[in-house]
Amino acid sequence: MKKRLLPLLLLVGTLAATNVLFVAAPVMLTGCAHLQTNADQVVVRSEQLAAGAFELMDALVEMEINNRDSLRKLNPNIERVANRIRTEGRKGLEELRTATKIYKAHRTPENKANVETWIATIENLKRIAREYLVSSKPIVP
Amino acid sequence: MNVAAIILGLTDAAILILERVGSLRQIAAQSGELTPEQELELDTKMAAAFAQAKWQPSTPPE
Repeated sequence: MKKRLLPLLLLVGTLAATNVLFVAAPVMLTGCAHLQTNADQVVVRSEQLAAGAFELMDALVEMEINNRDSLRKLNPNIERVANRIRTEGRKGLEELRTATKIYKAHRTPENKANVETWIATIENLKRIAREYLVSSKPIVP
Repeated sequence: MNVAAIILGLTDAAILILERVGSLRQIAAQSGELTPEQELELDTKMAAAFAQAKWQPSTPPE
């Protein structure tokens, strides 16, 4: 009985730790910093999101690889979520950074829309990872 | 799996969170656009992480 509880404790602990990151970070990222009057809201949001999402995703993939053997036995879907972050998350972050730099250089409505598209992509990936980790929903590959 | 492995796993998760709290606070405090130096720092940090093994997709067992 004790042997069965210990792996479960690891899983719960790891998921709880990940949840803290995914749940607490958005709260922290909407903290009390006041936007500078000359700052472009889309740029600030994009740069905050890229930096924040990177920290969260980096923590997630690190926790998954550090505990892979245990997590594989308990819930293989966690590895699938982590792998989705490794491919789509990485691509999305790189595209978001590129789109933001292009927009900062040429502030056209089209470039702004491109940044907003990648913001939505990264927000969606964060949501999927968070929802899955919170409720153990099956993911759509 | 033994107790030591469990404790190490939980400790690892806790350390990862603590390591990132400072970064997340710094990000939350950002009120303007990043300077070119800050952009370079962020891009370098991300590129360095993406090159590490933890960011390489794994091959789950059949």
